[in-house]
Amino acid sequence: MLFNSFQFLLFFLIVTPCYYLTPQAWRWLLLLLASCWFYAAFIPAYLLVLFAIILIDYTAGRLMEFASGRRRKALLAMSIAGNLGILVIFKYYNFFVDNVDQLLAGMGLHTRAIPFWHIILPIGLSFHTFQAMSYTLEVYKGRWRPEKHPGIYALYVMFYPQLVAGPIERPARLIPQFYQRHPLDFDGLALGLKKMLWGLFLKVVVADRLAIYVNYIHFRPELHSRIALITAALFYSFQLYCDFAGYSLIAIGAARTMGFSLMENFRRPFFSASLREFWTRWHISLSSWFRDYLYFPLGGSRYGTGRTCLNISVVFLLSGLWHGANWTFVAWGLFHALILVVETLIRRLEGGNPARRRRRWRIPGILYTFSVWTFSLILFRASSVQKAGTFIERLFAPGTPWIIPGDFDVRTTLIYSVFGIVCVLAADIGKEFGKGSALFMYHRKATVRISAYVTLVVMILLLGVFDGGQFIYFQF
Amino acid sequence: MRLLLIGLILFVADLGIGGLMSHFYFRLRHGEQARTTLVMDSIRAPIVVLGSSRAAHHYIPSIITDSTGLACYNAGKDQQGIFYSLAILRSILGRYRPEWLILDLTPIAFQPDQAGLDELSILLPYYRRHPEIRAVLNKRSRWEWLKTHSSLYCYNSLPLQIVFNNLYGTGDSGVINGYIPKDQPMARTPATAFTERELTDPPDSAIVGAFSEIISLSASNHCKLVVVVSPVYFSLPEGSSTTRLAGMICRDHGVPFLDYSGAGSAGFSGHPALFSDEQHLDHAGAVLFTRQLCTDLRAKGLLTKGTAR
Repeated sequence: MLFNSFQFLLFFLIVTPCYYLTPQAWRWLLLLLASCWFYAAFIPAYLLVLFAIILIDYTAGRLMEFASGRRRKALLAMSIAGNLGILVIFKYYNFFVDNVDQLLAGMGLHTRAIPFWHIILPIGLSFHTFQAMSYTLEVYKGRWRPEKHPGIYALYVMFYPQLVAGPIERPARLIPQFYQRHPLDFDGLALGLKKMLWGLFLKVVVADRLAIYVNYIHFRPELHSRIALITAALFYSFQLYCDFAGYSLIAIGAARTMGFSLMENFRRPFFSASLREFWTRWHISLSSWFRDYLYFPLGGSRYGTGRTCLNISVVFLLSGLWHGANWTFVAWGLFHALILVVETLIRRLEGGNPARRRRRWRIPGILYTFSVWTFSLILFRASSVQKAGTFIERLFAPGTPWIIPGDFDVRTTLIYSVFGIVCVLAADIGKEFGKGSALFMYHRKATVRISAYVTLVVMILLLGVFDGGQFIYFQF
Repeated sequence: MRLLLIGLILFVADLGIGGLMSHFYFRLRHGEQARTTLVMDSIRAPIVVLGSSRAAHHYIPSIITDSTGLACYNAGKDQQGIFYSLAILRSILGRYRPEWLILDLTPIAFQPDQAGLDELSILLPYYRRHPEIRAVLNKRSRWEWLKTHSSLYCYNSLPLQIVFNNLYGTGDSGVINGYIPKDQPMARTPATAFTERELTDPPDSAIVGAFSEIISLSASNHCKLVVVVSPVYFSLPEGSSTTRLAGMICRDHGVPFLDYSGAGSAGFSGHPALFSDEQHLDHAGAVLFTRQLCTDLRAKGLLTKGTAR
């Protein structure tokens, strides 16, 4: 079920009141059934994949309680192998087969040696496997007691607001909330609805409108002018941000309406002064997952510059692969690793007062980070490395015309797109440099707040793209 | 209480702003929306061309009129699929009975991604005024009947067009009776227009159903239908799953089917001066094609002066 669908609106309007009408003892069951209904709206059979993940990690967690030493380690390995095995089979099998096939063909050997598996990737598989793995890792490290209630554990993996695209939660944050009593709190309800409304605006008014131009240019980049390519690259930065931040806000808001608090996933990333800072503000739940469960165990930055650079490279290579089974994502991850390594080396070579330097270089730093991020997204957005190469070559080739008349003559789409970007930037600038939220929805005067709600709903109905389809991060 | 108040204000805003949108939309005299209103509410031409952008750019009504002595209107529309043609036909038949219908099919019209249900949103302003098209528009989603209760939803993505065309709409740059000429010939190296999958994948049953409904509607209303696949830059000698099935259905129903995308494409395919891109003829190509079509139809005893009545 998509958050930007009418089906979800009905689902939400049924589930939320039912949650408050259900006695506390049975709320977990209601949420679990609702989450199954939510997920089954995509492909019902894939509930079995989720159940398999739940069974593996619940069993491993329960057995770890009574195990120690090598047996405990073996249980962790079994759990991780189970999760990653499912992920690899569904997400990376065809990628592997395709590459083996090409390698064999390159060697002049028989191709199609291993058959492809014609299957659709279960939506959000990378998200719920990572959330499930965080549970077993926490239990293994002794930082979290194994959950005894299988229903509550299942809900931890399946909680519908964050089931398909995060935020990737940790057991210590989420599981206790299932036991807490959440009485109807009008302020919390209002806060949740405001977040959902702004999230929906970001998705349907901004992201999906930008997608019209971006998709048009990326379909045949070789036909377009340099200005068109630059515009598409800039638009895609905002599209991806609004798409995913919009999703996260709807998820956080939907959970908030029922009294649950999910972790913040975006903190105005376009105001980062370095790529390193960017990754503390973008998809926070994933980057902190990689930091806590991969970067730190690898040694983090404790074993010298060389080891730090290697650890960064490993993390971003895997982060690239996490996003998708395609060489474009590998290249994207390695590009980020390279920039971060360079940033790390520069930081270590620099002396002086870092705080003062950071202040002085803030604006150039923001422009640099945005440019690097936007450029890297050419790899992220392209359907293949060849397409990305075509885009980049066309962008920098001396013969590329700056403007082609009539290249994209739907001026209303461009006006709507720019309007959307201005709205997002105004909101983010207000919050980054001002006091509190710049959105009128949070104004102290009720009349201003109500006007803001009505204006947003009217804009969503009038300017929203309702056939824009699913969220970009669902494919991961 | 506050939620009720917000709900009430939203209801009034929807009615008020939606009403304004409707007022200014239906007083448009220029632009794409005005042409759609003309097709939905006014045209009474005995010959109507239906189809996608290829219809809009390939069939010149004045040449057809010269050939048949009957007025012709080109109701083809950019980015639309068969469902759009079906909706337009239903609306037209609710008003009058054309003598001839020319339905242009693209070689991949039956592929699932060619249904054009999303693009049918351009007909949402007519949802309330034209009950005959509701069944087609309701195919957009299960909840379309409910969503269309919002006036704002029906004018989604249209505010700027309504404002611009009301303020600055001075003409339709050469559009004559629905025909939209493409004046620029292709200025680049042509590339393949269709993928292998698009040409070979099995047709979508819902789209085929809409196509069959167009055939049966025209038969039951005694309109003579001709189905045409107009030329493409790279000819398709093997045809496509769409053209093969469309040909078969037409044969079964006794509907003339003319395919200019395969063997009949000689004289068009491979001539960059006749195309503005791989799928669309430019004006010179459209003149040549419409004349060729009229000649071929006359040769078959169709669409000649006097045959319509």
